[in-house]
Amino acid sequence: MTRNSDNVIEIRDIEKSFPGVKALKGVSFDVKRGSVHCIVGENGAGKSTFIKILTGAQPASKGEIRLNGDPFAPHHVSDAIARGISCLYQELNIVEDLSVEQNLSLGQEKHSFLFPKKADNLDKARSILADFDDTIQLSDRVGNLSVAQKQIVEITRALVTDCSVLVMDEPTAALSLGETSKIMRVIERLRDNGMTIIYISHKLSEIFEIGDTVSVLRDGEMVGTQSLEGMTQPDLVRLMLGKVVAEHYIPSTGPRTETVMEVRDASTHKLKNISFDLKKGEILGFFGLLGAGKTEVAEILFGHAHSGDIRKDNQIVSMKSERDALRAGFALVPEERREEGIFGLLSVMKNIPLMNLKTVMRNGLVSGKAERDLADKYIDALQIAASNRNHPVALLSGGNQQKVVIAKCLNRNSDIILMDEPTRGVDIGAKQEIHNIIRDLANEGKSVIVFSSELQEITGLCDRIVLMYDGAIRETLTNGDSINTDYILDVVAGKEA
Amino acid sequence: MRTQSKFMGLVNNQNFVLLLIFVALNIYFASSTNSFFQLGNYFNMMTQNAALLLTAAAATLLMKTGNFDLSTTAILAFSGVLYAILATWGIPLTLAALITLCAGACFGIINGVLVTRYDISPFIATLGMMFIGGGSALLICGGQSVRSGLPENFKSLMQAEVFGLPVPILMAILGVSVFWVLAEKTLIGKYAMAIGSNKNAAALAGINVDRTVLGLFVLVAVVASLSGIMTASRIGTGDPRTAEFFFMDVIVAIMLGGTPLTGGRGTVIGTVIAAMIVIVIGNGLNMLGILVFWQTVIKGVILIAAVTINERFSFAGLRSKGKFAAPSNSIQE
Amino acid sequence: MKHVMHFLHTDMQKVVLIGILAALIIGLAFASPNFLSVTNFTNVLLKVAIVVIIASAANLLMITGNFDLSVGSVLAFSGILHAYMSKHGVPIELSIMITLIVASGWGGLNALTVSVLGINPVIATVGTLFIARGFAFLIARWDGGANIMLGLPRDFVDFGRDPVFGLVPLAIVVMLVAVAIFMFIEKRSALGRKAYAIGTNLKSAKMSGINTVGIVSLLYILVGLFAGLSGVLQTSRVGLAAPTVGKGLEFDVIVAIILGGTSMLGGVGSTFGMLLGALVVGFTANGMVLLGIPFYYQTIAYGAILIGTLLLSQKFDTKAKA
Repeated sequence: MTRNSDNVIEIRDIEKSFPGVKALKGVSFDVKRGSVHCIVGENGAGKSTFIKILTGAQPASKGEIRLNGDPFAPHHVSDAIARGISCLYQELNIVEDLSVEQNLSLGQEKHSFLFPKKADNLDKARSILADFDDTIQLSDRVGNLSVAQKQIVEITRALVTDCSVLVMDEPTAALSLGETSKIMRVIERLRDNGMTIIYISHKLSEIFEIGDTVSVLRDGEMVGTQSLEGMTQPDLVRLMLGKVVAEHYIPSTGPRTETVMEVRDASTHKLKNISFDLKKGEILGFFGLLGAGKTEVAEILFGHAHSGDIRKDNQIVSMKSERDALRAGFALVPEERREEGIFGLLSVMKNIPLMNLKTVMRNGLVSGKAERDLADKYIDALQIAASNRNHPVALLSGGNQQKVVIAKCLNRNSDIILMDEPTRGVDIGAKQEIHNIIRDLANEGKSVIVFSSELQEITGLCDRIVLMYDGAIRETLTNGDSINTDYILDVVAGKEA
Repeated sequence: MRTQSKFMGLVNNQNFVLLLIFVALNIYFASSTNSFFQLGNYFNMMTQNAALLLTAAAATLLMKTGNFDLSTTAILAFSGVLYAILATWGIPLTLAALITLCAGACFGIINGVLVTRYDISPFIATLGMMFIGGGSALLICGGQSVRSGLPENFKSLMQAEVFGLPVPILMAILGVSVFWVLAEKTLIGKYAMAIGSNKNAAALAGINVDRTVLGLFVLVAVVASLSGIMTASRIGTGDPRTAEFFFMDVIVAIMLGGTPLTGGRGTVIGTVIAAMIVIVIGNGLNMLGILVFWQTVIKGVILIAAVTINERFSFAGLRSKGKFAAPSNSIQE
Repeated sequence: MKHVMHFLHTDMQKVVLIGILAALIIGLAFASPNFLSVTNFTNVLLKVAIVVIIASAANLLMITGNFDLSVGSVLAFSGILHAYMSKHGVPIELSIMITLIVASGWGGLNALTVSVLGINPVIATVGTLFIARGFAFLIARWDGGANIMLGLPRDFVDFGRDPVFGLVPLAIVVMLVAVAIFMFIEKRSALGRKAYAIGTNLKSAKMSGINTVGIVSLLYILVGLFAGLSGVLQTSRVGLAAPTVGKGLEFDVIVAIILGGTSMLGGVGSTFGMLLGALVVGFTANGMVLLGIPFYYQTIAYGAILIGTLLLSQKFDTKAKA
């Protein structure tokens, strides 16, 4: 490897494996000194894992990183900080109950016998802070600040330590436009002063505004590193989502004319006047990039608060909790299966009936035989690969866990089934099987809504496609041979019609 | 957004309210009884409860990290007995005290190690130590209080007065001041708060969480031990069954004083005022002839009320407990 | 391999307990001449019954990830209430019913504070501990200020002492029935299934439409009910009621449950395991008494067993819970 002094960081063949899954499969790229280098990728692409390795929070399984030409393999975050790499994580690492000043100096206080002394970089901190928001006082209790302000405090904290490389993971996720542009200006200023910024964000507009270079991660692999000059947003989106080989779309067999559910002018703090309808026997797809609002739509259909109306079978339904939603005939396969879908300690057999225990009860008692039969039925129908039905679900692969959650949902026999990222983290074979299950459901007369950030999935599966961008519905298309994926990508990238 | 004054206002608010309640209670008892509002009574109250004040102040620091110690009663009892026994063996009192404090420190080390290194919940760990400590106290004295064979000067320190104040009160004032300084002015207090408020952030910032927590467990244990010595000296007996619900009083005082079970917030002052409230209620009710069980009931009500206020309505909704509220430490996508 | 370890562990704990129990019984049979007698066994089982009756319900509660520290006070309160009412002319059956209802009420208080209001179960149930204990003293006072009540009607005492079918004391029968009921619930009822689900993953349970607040509330009420039942039985058998009984009983219950393999985090546990745990503790205590080992060694052993069991289960538990 020749030493290129233009590069502050050189990354070669970084791999990271966890039991059962390879999160990073050989990532290589260079980061030029004094540039703003952006990293993009959909959820699950491996961004967070990579950042953890770069900043010392986790070790790589294989591969090498060089910092200023010297090998860099930190064991702790403090190692990385000592070498000049500071990081702003996605979860706020701020202590609510301390003041701003205390947070800024946390862990780095100068002291004599445990009595802290006045920090000498206090003025620097004050001026950086004032640049962002001059209403924040050093003595304010952080817990009293708004989320945006908390983020500003954390950014200030990173800036106050003398770092040469600043890693920012989704720094503007909770900021307003005004605050975001302030941060953009600061980043530009830092870059002009020689700092290198590694900027992770899914907000493409920001990437194009301040980025010099962009690296695209997809499924744990580095798909490409390019200069942002001359690139257009749709170009980037294409790079991120990959070549879309249309999975062969087969329309659902029903007439799909009867409206079974309607949403009118639903808004939350994120969603803007969402209106759409759902026909009986159809597969409706919601497509958009991360942050477009897909999950929020799923949430309002499953008990979250919202303004506006939801009608089912022409009656307004008021759903204030998950139980209300289930009673109204909605069932959700959640996005986070490990946190919200499975019961890890329990066996496959014990998981499946839990959304509808009636199906395994005989004469008021739970019947072991009914449980076994039910489990066998779904294991067979969904091709769940478990050594036996007593296998704890936590030990199954992602795809099979997802199938168990789907089985649990199907067992409820709801009219409307919502599936949030149904095949994320699922291998190709299981993906196909799950798609076939969805098709069967529609053909039986159920209505399915699929929320996905995988274009291939949407175009291969759905009868109609709703395109979302920035919390609003941009357009609804009917699927068919004339579907233009380029056009879709443009729309969800925010391109004006 | 001037959040500073709001912050100061709220902090003072809770302690201020507690102070008001304290004053109100004093007025009530003073007017309802003859003997309450006398210097002698106050001295008496404070002397008898100096241990509570000291231990609660120290334990506030521990509780700010989100941990707590149920074994304080046991350590107190064990220490009192050990101290008395050593005294009966003719060991000079200062040395006996030192040995006892070391023993107390050992309890603290065990508690701390179980919680930090072995990841056992503080509830189980200190509960287990409560049994072991309580049992050990009975063991070394053979089940009998150590009364006889004590040297002449056993009680003298605790019965002395310096500058007109009984020694126990003086020690309490000194101790509380030390802990106040520790909590408000040193890094230990700051780190304790950080650990309770956001353990991850504290660890990421480079704070040695395990060492801090361990240290605080030892601190609490040593103070509980000291309390045991003080109590034994004061009553002139090493009683293995003394102060049964001491640990509960400590925790009630701390929680009423504004420190939630999960830690983060909390002040030594608040704890002290709350402890005084509990003490005054106990004393006042005694004077009014109200019996112990009512006091127990009241204590239970206070506990639940204190926790409800602390945990449900903390700081005007900053910790939103609504079903769909995002935890304030993460960014919603 | 991991899942083999997991299952081996859950059942392993029971196997180990049975082994310890067998060793204890055999050992004590040799070590002490008084051990192998009907009287002795009956005494042990009577003591164990008090704990097991309550622990049956408390076990299912802990499986949801919650627990109740007020059971000792509720037991004492119930004993006093029943004794008081009986002494003052209330027919036995009515008195028992009323006591059980009030005891369930204490459970309801816990349900309100913990399940509905979301207060930490440690604090909330300790609050109830204080209040219930206080009321126990209050009622004792109504009877004349003394702590112990004498002069109870004939059938009050008979109720507790007359053995069922002339053979087995009532308390032991109730214990077996309680164990049977809860073994049944945990294996064959919707309530049981839901409890395990809640303990395994509260969020998933809510998302699956399980009424988590309702179920936990119900379990708290049941624990109160059974604490009341135990209180009534104990006081009837002994023939007097004291407001000071049951101090520390909540810890006996928790130790039995944890020893039996239930994790404080929830999702794992069985009634049978708890029974074994309670028997191990019971016979250990019995052995210590028979061998003349002073009582305080018991307390120390208690603490050591508690910590030791937890240290051991840490090794297996955390992996499975992940």
